[in-house]
Amino acid sequence: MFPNREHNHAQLCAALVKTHQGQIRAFLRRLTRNTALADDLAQDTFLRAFQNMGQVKDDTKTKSWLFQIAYRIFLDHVRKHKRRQNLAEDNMPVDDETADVPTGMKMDIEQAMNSLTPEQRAAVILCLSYGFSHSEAAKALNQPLGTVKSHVARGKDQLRAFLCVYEKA
Amino acid sequence: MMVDNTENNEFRELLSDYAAPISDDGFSDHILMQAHAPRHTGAIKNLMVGIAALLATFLAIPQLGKLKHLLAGVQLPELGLPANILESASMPNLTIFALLALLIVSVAGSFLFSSDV
Repeated sequence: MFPNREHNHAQLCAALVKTHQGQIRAFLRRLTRNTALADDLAQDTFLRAFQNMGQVKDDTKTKSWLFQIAYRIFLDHVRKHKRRQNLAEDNMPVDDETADVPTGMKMDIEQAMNSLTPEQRAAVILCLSYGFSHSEAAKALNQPLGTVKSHVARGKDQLRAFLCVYEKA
Repeated sequence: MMVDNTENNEFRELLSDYAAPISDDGFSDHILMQAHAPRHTGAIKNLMVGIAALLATFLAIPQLGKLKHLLAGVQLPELGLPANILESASMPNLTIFALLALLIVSVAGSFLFSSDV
């Protein structure tokens, strides 16, 4: 009916997924600690984003909007999982892939980050790795600004403690 | 305000591997294929909501008489106001119809046009 509009939509979808899939998948992998699950959630994220493309008027906000969807999908999954199996969130199936087992410093950073709750981890990744401002992260994670700041501070403390151990060694 | 100072840069550096973007490896193509595959769930949902709204309308219309009767039976306390004021405040049938229709349309509309995000 509107071939041009559909073509434009398809092009926008392609650009969106190609630009952001790397960070969205990495973000979800770090939250779920499960590669296959993270990719499934990333797929849901993009499919939901495609359906709601019209909601984002400002291109500069696309990234934080996508992370907002991804984080909401992650939380939905955690809730469903808890409801179904009555398991704690940390008991979600963790990756047993051995192909890319981190070693040395990488492993220690991963352990330091894994000691944080998923909310704290999400805030740290967004603010410290992906350059989100605290308010952008607060919006993406749907949390109060003060909570995000304290999550990031807690993450920094963990990483500082880790660095201190390394400097002493 | 961007979270950007020397310490944050150190942390960013430290986490560069941890949060490194994942290489595509066909993920985008897979997603785009999924997105453009024909889906009928939306159409089915809309059809079901439409049928439900229609059924609700058919069920609601015969009840209007009873509703009118019920409303007429409501005994209001005497306020000592002139009778013509109370008469002018009574709800005409048309308004009841309009309110019910609005309710049904808004419920159906909220299902049809609401988005998940």
